[in-house]
Amino acid sequence: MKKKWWVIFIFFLLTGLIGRIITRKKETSVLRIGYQPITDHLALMIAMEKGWLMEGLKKYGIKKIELKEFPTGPQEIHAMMGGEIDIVYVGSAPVIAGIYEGLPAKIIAGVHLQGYALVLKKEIAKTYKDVFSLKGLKIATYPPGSVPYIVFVKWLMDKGISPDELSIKTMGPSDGVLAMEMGDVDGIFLPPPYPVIIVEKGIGDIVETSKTIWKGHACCVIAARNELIDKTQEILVEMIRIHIKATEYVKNHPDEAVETFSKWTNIKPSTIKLAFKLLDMDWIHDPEISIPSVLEYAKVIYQLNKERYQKRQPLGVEEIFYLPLYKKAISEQF
Amino acid sequence: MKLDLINVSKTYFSDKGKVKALEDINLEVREGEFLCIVGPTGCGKTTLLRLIAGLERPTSGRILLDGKEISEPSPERALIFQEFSLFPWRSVYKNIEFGLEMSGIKNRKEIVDKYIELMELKGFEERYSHELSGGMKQKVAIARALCMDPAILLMDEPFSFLDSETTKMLHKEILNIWKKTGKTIIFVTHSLEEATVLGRKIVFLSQRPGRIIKIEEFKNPE
Amino acid sequence: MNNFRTNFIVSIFTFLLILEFLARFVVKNPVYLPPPSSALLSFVHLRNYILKDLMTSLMHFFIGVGFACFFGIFIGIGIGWFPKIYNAFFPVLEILRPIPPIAWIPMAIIWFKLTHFSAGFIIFTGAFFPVLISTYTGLKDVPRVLIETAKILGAKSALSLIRHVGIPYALPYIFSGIGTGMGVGWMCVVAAEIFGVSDSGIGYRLFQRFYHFHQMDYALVYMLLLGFVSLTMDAIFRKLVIDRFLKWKRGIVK
Repeated sequence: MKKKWWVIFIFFLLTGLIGRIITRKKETSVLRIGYQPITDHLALMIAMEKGWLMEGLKKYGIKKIELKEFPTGPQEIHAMMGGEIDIVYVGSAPVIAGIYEGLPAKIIAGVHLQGYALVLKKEIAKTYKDVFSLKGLKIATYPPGSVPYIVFVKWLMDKGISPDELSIKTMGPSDGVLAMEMGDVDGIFLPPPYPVIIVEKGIGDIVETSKTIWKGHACCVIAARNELIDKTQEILVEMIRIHIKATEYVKNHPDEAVETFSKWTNIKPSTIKLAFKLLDMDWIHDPEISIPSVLEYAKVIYQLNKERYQKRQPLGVEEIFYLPLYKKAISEQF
Repeated sequence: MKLDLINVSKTYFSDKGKVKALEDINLEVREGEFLCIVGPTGCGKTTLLRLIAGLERPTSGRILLDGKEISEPSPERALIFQEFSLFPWRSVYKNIEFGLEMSGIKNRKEIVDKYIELMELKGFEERYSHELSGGMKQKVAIARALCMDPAILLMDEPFSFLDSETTKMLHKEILNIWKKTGKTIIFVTHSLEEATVLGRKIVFLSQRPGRIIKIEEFKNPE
Repeated sequence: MNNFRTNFIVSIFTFLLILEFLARFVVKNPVYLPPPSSALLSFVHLRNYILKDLMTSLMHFFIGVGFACFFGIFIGIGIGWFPKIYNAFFPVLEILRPIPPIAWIPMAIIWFKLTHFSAGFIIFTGAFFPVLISTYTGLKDVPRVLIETAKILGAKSALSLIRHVGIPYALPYIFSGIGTGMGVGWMCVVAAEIFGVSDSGIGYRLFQRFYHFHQMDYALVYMLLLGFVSLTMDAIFRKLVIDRFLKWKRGIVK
């Protein structure tokens, strides 16, 4: 008899615990930020390193900033859909893919343009002429719904090549480098600084960069949950302000930026320096610069899931962006 | 056919020490004899059969069949076990055929049919072991041994798991077969009653280590 | 049988109904819990993929389970029959056995590259041990009396004893091991396809598409598909095996 009560007690304890985990209300004093180990997100790394973010947000009641690293954007957004993250440094395309599926978030600032590179194995790179040389090759890039994937696929399709004419292997950046080293793939199309790692190892050569594929295409942005946009605008405005400061700092102090990135990722400073030299990276903060290519991404994602979204229109600016916060931030900044 | 056991001893070695199972067995078995070996449980009578079957080798002494030392099991010394030993995945027919198959004999059907007839197993050819009574199982085992045309048939308390009714019936049957085929049979049992019913010659074994106490030979009234 | 089938349908139908209710009126967020009815529509959307993905996954599955059966039975017979082989192999196998199939992924990529055999290998690591252990148990359990009977009836070599006594006796064990191995192997299909070995497959579609586009209703369809296919394969396997090979021992393989 006693045993039975114990079992019932434990049962309720466990169900209660599980219920508590699922319905857990997030502490409002904790800000959870998602990012990836790519140079695009250097502004966040600098802002954290310098203590600007913590200091700036303290007066709004933020006691703790939790950073969460993800290998790729779609995974980052998936966690955000699960309610795990408040603000993301992430590619714009994953945000759009999320919003199509009901992600309650919007883009509030720009982070980065361009910087990707297509690297092919040395012997294949020698005979590379143009995009048509890629037919039949195995290329590693980020997962569907990420910016690299969409930029790459759109480039192919614009030239009249179906993505099925080559084998696109989707994976995170370090897996991509490993696959290239193992000879599993013929080339990679990845964000900085990963293409350069392969060049440095003498395995492959850069044949195309963002500039030659799609000049000025948007890459990363900052997106925030609608909840925050509705309720705690002042936190976001302060955050954008710090982001602007950090972005300018990265541009003006490249050596320190190299050091910081190396510290965060364990990638050799020489590699990062080479990436700065070879890849046309462009750190920005104005979200408006990203709008044209973001709308293109929205169309491509719509196309990729045509049947699923047939009853709706491709997403527009209003559904993807929330611009007033940035305007407020710069008006107060200067 | 002539089977000679000369000064046969068997000792088992284990972690706990050694156990002497048989000591100085001297025995001569002649063609067509029906020999019963009687002794208390654990006296080594099963060991004796296993030695003759070639499943084990004596520690000392020699066992000769027609002057040739026995070194391995062979169909010419067929052993019927106390436990049921049919192959459960084979039908009755296939069980009986097993030995012939192993020896690569060609016209197996003729031989198998002959022993199915002899053991009165007709109609049960396609049954499987679990569909047979204990008595049936032992009859199949006997048929399976006989169709290899063994020089000696060794039987190790084959009816000890059967009820007395079935046992009596099988006693009759085995005597019948003995008369019909003239096979040499060595039959081990712990029951003196069974031995006197069957055997024309009875060997009495002592407690462990098993030694021959006496050999009695008598004409059975029939 | 009929009773079983009715029960089966009622149970599943009730389960789906409860899910539907929870999804529509309690959770109310299709990302957290897509209503099963939306899965019906998704089936239509996904009609061009399902067959292709299923075929690819089945190919990975049969590569893995095929090799698992071959090596599992082969080595299982070896260690089940010969104590020396057992002594040589067993410690190694005991160390390898607890390693979960997913842990083999990095090795698989290095050894087999991004090919179907890489996926097959992951499935192999899942299916191999159930087959091996059952085969081993089956051969070890062969009653001594049957071996001795066979010896007396003229089966001389170890090979002929294994062929005529060991394997037939162990067959129900081996089949039950294959059944378990198939179940575990199928569970590994998704893991095997996560890392991009192919451009189709159930696991590929789940992780490379639905996950990255957050299409949870599609994911649900594929999850249900995984369950349904496994159930079907199991039923077919059991029917074929029990009816054909184990006439003499119905009821052992459950």
